[in-house]
Amino acid sequence: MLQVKTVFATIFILLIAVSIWPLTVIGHPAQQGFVLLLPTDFYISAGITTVVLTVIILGILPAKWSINLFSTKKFTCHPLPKWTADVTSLCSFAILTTLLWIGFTGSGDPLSNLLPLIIWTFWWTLLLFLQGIIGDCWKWLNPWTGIYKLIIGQNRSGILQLPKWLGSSIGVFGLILFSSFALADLAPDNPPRLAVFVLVYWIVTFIGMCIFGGDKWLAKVECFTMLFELFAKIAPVSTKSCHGQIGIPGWKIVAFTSPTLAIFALTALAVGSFDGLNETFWWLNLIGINPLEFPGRSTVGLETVSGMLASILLLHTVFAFCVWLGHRLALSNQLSELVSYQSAFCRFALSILPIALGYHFAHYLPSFLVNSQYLIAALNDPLTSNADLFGLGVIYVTTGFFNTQETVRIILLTQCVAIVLGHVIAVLIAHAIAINLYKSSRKAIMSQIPMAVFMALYTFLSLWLLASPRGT
Amino acid sequence: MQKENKNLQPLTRRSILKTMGGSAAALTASSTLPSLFGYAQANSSEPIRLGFQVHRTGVGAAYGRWYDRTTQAAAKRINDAGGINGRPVEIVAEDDGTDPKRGAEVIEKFATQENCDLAFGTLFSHVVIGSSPRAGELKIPYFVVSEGHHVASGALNRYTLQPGITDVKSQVEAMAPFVASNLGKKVAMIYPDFAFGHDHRDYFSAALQKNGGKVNALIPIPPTETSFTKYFPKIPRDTEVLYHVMVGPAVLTFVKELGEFFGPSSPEIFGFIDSLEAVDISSSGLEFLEGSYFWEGNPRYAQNNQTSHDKIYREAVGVDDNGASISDSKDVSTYAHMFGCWETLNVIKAGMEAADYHGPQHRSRLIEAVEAMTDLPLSDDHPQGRKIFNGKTHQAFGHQYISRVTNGKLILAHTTSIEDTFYPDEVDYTTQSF
Repeated sequence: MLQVKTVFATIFILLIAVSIWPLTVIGHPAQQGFVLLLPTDFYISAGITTVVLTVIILGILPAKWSINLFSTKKFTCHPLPKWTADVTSLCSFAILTTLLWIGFTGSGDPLSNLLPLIIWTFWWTLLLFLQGIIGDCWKWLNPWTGIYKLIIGQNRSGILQLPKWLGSSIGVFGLILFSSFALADLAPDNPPRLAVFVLVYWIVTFIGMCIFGGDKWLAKVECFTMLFELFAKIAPVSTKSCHGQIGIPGWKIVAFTSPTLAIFALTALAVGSFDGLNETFWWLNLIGINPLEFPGRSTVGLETVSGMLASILLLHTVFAFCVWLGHRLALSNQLSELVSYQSAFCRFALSILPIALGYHFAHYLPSFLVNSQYLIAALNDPLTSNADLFGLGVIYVTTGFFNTQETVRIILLTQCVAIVLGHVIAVLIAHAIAINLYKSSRKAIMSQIPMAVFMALYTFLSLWLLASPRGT
Repeated sequence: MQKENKNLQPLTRRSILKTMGGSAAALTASSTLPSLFGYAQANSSEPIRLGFQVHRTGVGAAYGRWYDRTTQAAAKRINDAGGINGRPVEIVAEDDGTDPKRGAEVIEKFATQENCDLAFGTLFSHVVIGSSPRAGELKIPYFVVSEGHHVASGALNRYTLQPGITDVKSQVEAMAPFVASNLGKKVAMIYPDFAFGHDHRDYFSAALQKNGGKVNALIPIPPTETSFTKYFPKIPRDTEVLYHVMVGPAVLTFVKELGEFFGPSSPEIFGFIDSLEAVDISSSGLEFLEGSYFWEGNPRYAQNNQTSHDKIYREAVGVDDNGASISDSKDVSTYAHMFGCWETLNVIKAGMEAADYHGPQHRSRLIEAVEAMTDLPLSDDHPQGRKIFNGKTHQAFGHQYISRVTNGKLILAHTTSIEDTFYPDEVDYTTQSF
């Protein structure tokens, strides 16, 4: 019943969000000319074929193989003292404070000011990706835990309890608010504007931690910690005190179950996909915008937020249907009480995390290639005072790699590989989860038929988003 | 990225102070004398703050990057020469997100929070149109670098001027004499079916008719189209010139399909470089463009008869002889347009000096001084070419360039006269009060 309540609570909050969110906006430049000249149909077909072949091979191989695939090797490690994470968190807090000061008082140019470059290029683009590759860096870098422990001390249970029925719904709401700001706000890169957003979020989170307990707030409400920790579950290595484990990417997800994080994970994937969709000719045409004459974010705010919410609801509906259908096919008429639909949904939902990571990488790769140069230039001259801290001189940012077919092909293929890899790992994880759930190879295969169709279609969608002409 | 001499960077307030307190050795270097002398005259005077409304994000970001680079180079040159009225220039950049609402907010910020003397630098028309009314309300001069006809059409206000770049109406109309006399009189126009394409359709059709030619087919392409082969059979067989102004991500596909359709026997082809601005003409897939003609606002490739002014301008901005960044030969600049920032800053400098500008209280005097300008001669200040400024319409008129793709490069084939670009005045802003 807890899960059902959580679903209803989340939907309720989503509906409130639809009604109260202010009308705001979208945008990005595109160097798509060369992409349109590439054989993208072939790339898309090859990607889908790879995913389908993975499904077929898994159907042929013995169930044991799928389970063994995610077995891990243990190793001994030498953990750092616990206080080191508090110290690095305090350092992170100090850096954030400095960045906020730069955001409020520094250059108004978002490509010279360190705050937007660190927030969007380093933290959101790079660090979130690294979470999925090397593991939980966020526990070292989050700007709350250090100062929280310093002020609150050891008594960290808070003065109030978070209602259990809320589940992760406030975190989902936070993720939607953040995504609305990123996708639809008039100027999310504007340093003072971003500084206000970051400052308010930091204060609200800190107050929430003090009232409801730091660990609980971060785990159930603070959407970035939730997202970063979820992505860390894809990483091949995990360490706990002096014990480490290493396996293929995603092994932690196979054994992990969290009713409250299922909806959060699907929301993250839906938002990421919509971030690509809202730039396409297809979307702009749908909302009546001439893609060659994009009028600016201020004109399409309502459409963007509505589209994002619709994408979230659509993905949840389609995914829930696929899981339901697979569940019915697996169990036929013998509705086992051992495996509930809710637990199947919650476990399978987390299998999409590698897709979200792959798409995150693919979607942000082009902008990262450009903005990371601005970031280096800004680190070299953090106060825009003509400093040359690292002796780099004047840095001419280049986008020349978007200007030849060869380099554009390399970039596009890299993006495609990331997306296909994400889907293949997701298929492997989902299959292993199915075997764990249904305890039978045949039932697992039956349950995965609708999921396989979903994965193939999502591969198509993700690759099509890369290949599709864009107008913003 | 490439490491360059740090001295290329424009001066900020801090570096200016550093310069003023520089070593005795620096005083002996003749190149630093003008700036030190100029700042010394001004003594403790504050910098002139120029609000740079730049497309850093949004659909105009590719242009914005080069507008920024040109602006920084122009500001550095002005500061190296002593600033304006002995005061250093400080560029206050704000991103408008290529959005009209945000553009208006940026103008307001320049006027009310940033203490800017004026605003300048906007390219995209819809941002200009969205920002100009706010500039008028706040009485802050707004120098745009947009090419749009909206300034000269009378749609804006006395505070909005475009002295550094010509407008699209004059550009398009000036093409007609060359096309009719040299390429052919029967012209088929293929253009995107929205305002940008319609402007070309209307201005060029009328101008061609005046020059004894005739548009024998109008072929509008829906903006969402990404394949064009089905439209090419609409080009009449007796067409002598195909005029194209396609824009957007599908433009390379357009050229490729055009080449596949016509093969070696095509009519003469004439286009606007806007289609391929910042794109390497020698890219694979664009071979079909060999022998075709393009309008260029400023020739991307250094020509055999390159002026010393263009040479200085290229070096200052960091652009090589092929129009690409000196740090990356594949990073092609928006050379046909970005000179407008350089020239606009020099007009602002000349205007402030003529108006003896000392601060915001002299803003109207600055506008009157610019309105009084007529001849802007070819010089280091105006490397694109001589211009004639029309104070009534707030619009500059100048030479247009027509280049032919030859061995994968754009080689200048014709320079229009300034008179070719004239059209009757449509407004007299000087009759509006401040």
